[in-house]
Amino acid sequence: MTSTSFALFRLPSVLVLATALALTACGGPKTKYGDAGSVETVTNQFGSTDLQMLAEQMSQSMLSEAPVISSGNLPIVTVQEVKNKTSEYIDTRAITNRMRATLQKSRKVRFATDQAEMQKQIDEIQRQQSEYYDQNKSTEVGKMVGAGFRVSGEITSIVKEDKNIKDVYYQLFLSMTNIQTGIEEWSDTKEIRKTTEK
Amino acid sequence: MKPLPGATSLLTWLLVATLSLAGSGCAAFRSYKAEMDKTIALASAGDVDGAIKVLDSNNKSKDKDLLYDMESGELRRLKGDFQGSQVALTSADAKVQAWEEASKLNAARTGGSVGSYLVNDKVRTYEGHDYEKVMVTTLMAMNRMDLGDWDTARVDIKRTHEREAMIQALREDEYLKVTEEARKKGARQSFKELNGYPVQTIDNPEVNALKNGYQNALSHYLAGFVYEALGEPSLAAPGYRTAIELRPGQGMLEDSLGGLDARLAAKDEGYCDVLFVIETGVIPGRASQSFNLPIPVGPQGRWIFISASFPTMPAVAPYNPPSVRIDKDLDVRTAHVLDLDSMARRTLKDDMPGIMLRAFIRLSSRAVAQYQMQEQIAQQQRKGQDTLGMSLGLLALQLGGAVTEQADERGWRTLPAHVTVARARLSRGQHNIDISTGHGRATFDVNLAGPHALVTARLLGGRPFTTPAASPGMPAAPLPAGSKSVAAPGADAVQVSVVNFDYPVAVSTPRRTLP
Repeated sequence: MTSTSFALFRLPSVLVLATALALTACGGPKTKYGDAGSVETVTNQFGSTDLQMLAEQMSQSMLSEAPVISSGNLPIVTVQEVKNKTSEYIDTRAITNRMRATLQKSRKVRFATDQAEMQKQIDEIQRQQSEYYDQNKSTEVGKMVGAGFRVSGEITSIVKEDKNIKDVYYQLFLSMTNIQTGIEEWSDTKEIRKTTEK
Repeated sequence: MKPLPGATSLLTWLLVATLSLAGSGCAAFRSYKAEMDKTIALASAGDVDGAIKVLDSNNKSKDKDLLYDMESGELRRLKGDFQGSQVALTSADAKVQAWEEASKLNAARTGGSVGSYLVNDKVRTYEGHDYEKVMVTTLMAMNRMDLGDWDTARVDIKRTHEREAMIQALREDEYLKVTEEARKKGARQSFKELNGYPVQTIDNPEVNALKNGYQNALSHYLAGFVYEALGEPSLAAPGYRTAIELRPGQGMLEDSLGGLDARLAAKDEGYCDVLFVIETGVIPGRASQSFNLPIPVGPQGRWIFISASFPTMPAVAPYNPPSVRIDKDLDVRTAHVLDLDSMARRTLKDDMPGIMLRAFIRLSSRAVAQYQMQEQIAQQQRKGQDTLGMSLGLLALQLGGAVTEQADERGWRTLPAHVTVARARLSRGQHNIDISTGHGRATFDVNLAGPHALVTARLLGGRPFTTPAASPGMPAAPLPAGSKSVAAPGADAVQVSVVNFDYPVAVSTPRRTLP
């Protein structure tokens, strides 16, 4: 018998053994809690670390560099939509919400109701106008305070790749404009570069 | 009697093959194509309940498999039973998730059973193709929308594009290679801005066909529409953008991205932004083709003919773009966003190396077993012993091989072959919709109530039938009394559902004439 045909004779036994080995290699999933602030590099797509870095850096820049905030005048600001010009599903509201929380904790800025929350605000005011509420204690229509400044911006990305490397560059641009005068009071860009070797 | 060398292998083969057959039950002999041809014929004739009964009768086991859940989900959706469809698709999704987790833990796992190397591929566990997995969550999102629960539809939408991102990452190297080759041949990549949103496309059919073989522009477009309806432009924009990049050169898709900011900024002037999802045809099924294959075995390289089967996919009618006319005078542009026919063919092409490898191992082991039996018979004949038993065993082995050697025909068969989208801004209230395709025509009335609405229409060969998507307590608008769908004689049946989304998002003024 040739070595080839001998190998063919032994094939079923080898297959059974290989399959058994493959199946025994399986292990159950393990779940554990981790540090939400730890660096995440599972993929090179926009992730939690990118969101945290951009929001923190922008908040610090606004607190220290924007004259209307650093002067201690407690400006009222509204946050507009940050335009997502990348090809990834990035929820830019998650970035601005984190910034808003940081800025509010500094007690140097106050926020007016933004466009996304406006309908909920109107709904609540209207609800309080109904006969079920004590009108003496209900919120009055026409007492909302408008913002003096608006924050807007955009996030862009550039993706380059070849067979060895994938490079992703993100840039977040934000600006704060005086709504009355139209003068831009502050702006900044923050960048992230992520390179993955394949 | 002293056994021949290798007789232990023969016994092992017979033992494992018998155990595999016993373990697989009827799976090894089941003709999925025949089962589903009958099911689809009933659904096409308007008897969806009958189709579901046939599906159930072919899947009597208590533990239903992924394919059953998927087919059941689509049939129930066709019937207008969105809740029932959601239950079936949720079950399918749970199975897909379990396998995805298992794949992450052990990428080199067998993905089936040892039986596929000894009996046939039908005994492998059906884990679903990538495009099917994306369609599970896409249809779940559409069910939620049909039920008026667009907030929860967002969850399925998010999971859909996360699954799409995984598929894209898996195929990145392949895309890159084909794109580089196309560039060398003169293909140009173009960058353009649609009202500030950058879009990058390539004018090469091969690259675009490859991408659309794996990725689903419908899912991305639907994501854009749902996120827009929920007032989340930063998530809507990449949905529209990805749909454009997958299916370049379609004005309707480009308008969706270019007009996003304006639509969201505009005041609510009583108009409804309607998305039409038009599903046509039936995805082609795999068919088993059998033939005899000569295999050299033994020290003298003796040729043994073994019955082999491989899956093939029959040709289907080419795509014909449907036309959508509203209130008899407004023609709406359409965009072809999903070609499931191509996706199924691409998947078969990708599966073929694995199918052939398993077939080679299976047929080789069968040829060796056959050769060993022939050798034993020859030896017994030389000794003047009775060979009747062995000869009958050999015959049984040959017949058994011929019977069990069948290609795996499984695949989600009730999916449409093509999906087209159209979009229009219409005043709220009643409108007449007229959809014409190469397969037939459907006219029906819709009652639009909120600022956004989804209208889905399925055209399937046979008699026409309609099912409104109204549910008590849901913000869905039932089809007005007297609404109807029609199809040309011998043409496709139609299933129509209409759902309104009553969400306080401003919409822009309507365009009565669309270029």
